[in-house]
Amino acid sequence: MGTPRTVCTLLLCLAVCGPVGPARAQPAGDVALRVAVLYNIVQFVQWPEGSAGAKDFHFCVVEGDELAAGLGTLEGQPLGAGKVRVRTVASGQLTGCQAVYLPAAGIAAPRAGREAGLLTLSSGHGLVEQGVMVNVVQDGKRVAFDIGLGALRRAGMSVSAKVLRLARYVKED
Amino acid sequence: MMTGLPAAAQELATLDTLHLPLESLLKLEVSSVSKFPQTTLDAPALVRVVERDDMRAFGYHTVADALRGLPGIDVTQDHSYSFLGVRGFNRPDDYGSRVLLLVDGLRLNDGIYDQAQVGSEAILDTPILKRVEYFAGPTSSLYGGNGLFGVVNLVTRSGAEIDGWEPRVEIGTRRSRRSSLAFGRTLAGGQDVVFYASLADDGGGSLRFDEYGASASRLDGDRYAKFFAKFTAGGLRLSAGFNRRTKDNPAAPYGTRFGVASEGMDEQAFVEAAYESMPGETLSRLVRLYANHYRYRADWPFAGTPNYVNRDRAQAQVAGGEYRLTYRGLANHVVVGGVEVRRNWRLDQGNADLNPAFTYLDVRRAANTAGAYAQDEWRLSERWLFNAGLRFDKVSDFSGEWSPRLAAIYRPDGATAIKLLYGRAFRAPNQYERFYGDGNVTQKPSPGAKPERITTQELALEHFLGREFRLGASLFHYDLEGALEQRIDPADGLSRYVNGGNIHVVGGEIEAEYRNEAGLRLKSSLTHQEARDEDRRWLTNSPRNLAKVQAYFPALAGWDVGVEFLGTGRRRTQLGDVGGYGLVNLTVNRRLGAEAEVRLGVTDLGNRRHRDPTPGYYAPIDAMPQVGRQAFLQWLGHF
Repeated sequence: MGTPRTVCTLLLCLAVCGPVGPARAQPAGDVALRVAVLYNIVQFVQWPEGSAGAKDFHFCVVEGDELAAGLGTLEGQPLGAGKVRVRTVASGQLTGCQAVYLPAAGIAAPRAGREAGLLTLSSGHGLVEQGVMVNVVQDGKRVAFDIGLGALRRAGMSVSAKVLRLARYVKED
Repeated sequence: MMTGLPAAAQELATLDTLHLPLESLLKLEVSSVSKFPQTTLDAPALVRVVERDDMRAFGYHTVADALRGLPGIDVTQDHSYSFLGVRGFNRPDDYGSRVLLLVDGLRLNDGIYDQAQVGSEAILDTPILKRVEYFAGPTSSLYGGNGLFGVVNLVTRSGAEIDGWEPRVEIGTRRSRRSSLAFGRTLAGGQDVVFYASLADDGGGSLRFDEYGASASRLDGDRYAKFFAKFTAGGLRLSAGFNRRTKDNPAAPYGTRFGVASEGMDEQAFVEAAYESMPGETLSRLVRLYANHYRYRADWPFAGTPNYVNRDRAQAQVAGGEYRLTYRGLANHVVVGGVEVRRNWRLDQGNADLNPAFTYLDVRRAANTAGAYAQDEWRLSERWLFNAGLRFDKVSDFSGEWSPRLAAIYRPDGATAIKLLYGRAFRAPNQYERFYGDGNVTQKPSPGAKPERITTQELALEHFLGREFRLGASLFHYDLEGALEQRIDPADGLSRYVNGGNIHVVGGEIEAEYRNEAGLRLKSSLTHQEARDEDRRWLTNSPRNLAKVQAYFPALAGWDVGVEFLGTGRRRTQLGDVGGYGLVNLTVNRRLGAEAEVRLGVTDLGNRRHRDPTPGYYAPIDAMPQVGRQAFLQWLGHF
């Protein structure tokens, strides 16, 4: 079948196939990826005039799941003209927060204190229906996010068209 | 899993990804969430995946080996080809034309028999495969003809995944020798290259044929050479493959001489260029051009004065293209539309005696296929997803075919998906069914054959219990109208293909899978199905029950052990029935440092030597004896 000769041709081809590239990127960890997605989205959110007084961005975290634990890595990262300041809070104490991450089990809590200019973030199934504005989820091998656009607008905020385009699901009212 | 990692490691991972643009983040694959082959629960079909880990754990060589462990699939073998039985449907006179075979999304069923070649005759074997994907159910709404029961997609490895040289050598019983060499790299400019070659030579064994009261010794040899190359740069992919497989058949089909070697050769080749780009922020585009070649030749030894050889031959040359747009500009919708044309510009079949020369058949034909399709995925809420697709196809000589598909997916929680699926698909009779004849010796052409159509409904449930346990269940109902079958014409005693009536299949399936952090994998499934023709007769070669159990134990006394049990229930044959059987395959694997491993595999450990129902042209053999226990020893390097 002429096979040995074909193998030789193949080997010859391999020999001239040139320099070796850099090692491939490692697959990302699940929590790290979801943190990065939230950080990215926050950069595309517009807060109402006057609500962002300080230069730094106050990112509050209610503890309770592994993503809440991972959000600490955002401390000191640049955002707008300032830096992200991560603060662990109890679910009732959201004064001064511009964004709050709530674990899925705790999303009912901020309803009472829902105010203009507070972005709510979470990670779990079906949370946009329950009023969360940005919900980051695992979708097969990848990470996806849903946007509660109605809730976001009611709180006086807006989000860029780019984020809406990349969202898996956008809930208007 | 991430929760178990020290905080410092987590932070490092975060900083790596934190400043990537959102588009890139959403394309990254997650490594750590679950050890399961990751498919989205939102997929609008039942998707099964055999990952590379599984192919190695269970010592699979062929695509058929990999598919055989999946729920509801049985594989039969007649010493020429392997045939997939799906949903109780594995007609003995069909050459596997009801399942689509894709390589990286490119259709590779041949142009004469429309065959999905999955055994040693397949275009690729497992060392070059990243995974084997199986989509159950009709897929004509996307792919056009032949996707009646499902699609098998062979996903090839990338250069980055191979990252170096991978030689493999192997010896086995029946004097078998296999070797392969894979090379893959990402070049400095980011281009990804893959080269692969695989050679196999199986000398054949001894098979006992009670019908002839004799054994055939070393008359079932199997030899192949496969080559594959792929180049990827940006959105461009160029790939090419070649396979030539020669198989001896010891079972004397078509009344040939028993005990004399007969040889069949199948050859396929393809080239493909695919380019994916984003002409707009919400629009992506795929352009694909391809050509493929298929050639078949078989020499059949007949008794006469003097004895003579009859040669079957076929050749197909096909070229085609596809243009597909995906639009994401409408909130909560993903709309896909495309057109595809295929020109079968050479479709030859011939049959002739060699010496003395006499030609019975010499057909040269050509045919065109054109199709257009559209699909919309609509996310109605976080819990409901709808998917609707429709395709129109026009195949030369036949009227147009509409193939719709609908899927409703309900996600009550993050770990559960309930799917209701409906689909229709068609298959036009292939060139062989329409035009093959052997000069009115046994078979005549069937110019009147028409397309067959299937309508299916399926209800499926998938549920994860934590990160380690998965449960699945499904109920299905398949209706095949005008099934193409080989029947004897009472007027002249010759067989030909006719639209032989309607076939109904109902059944159900359950499966359970466990995978833990340490690498332990346990998987089992049970299928029960009833496939009947319109006279309520149980179909031939249709097991009512299938049971699969697979277990992989990493590091058991220094060895990794994979063991599988493949159980198939009793099946009807042309003349009677064959009893059920259970195959046990065992694979043990040991790492030799970082750069090599050895693997020892034994298939059919209990030496059951089961029998598979045969088509009528193997008479007097009603059920084909299988090879029984075999063993191989493999060395695999990675440099």
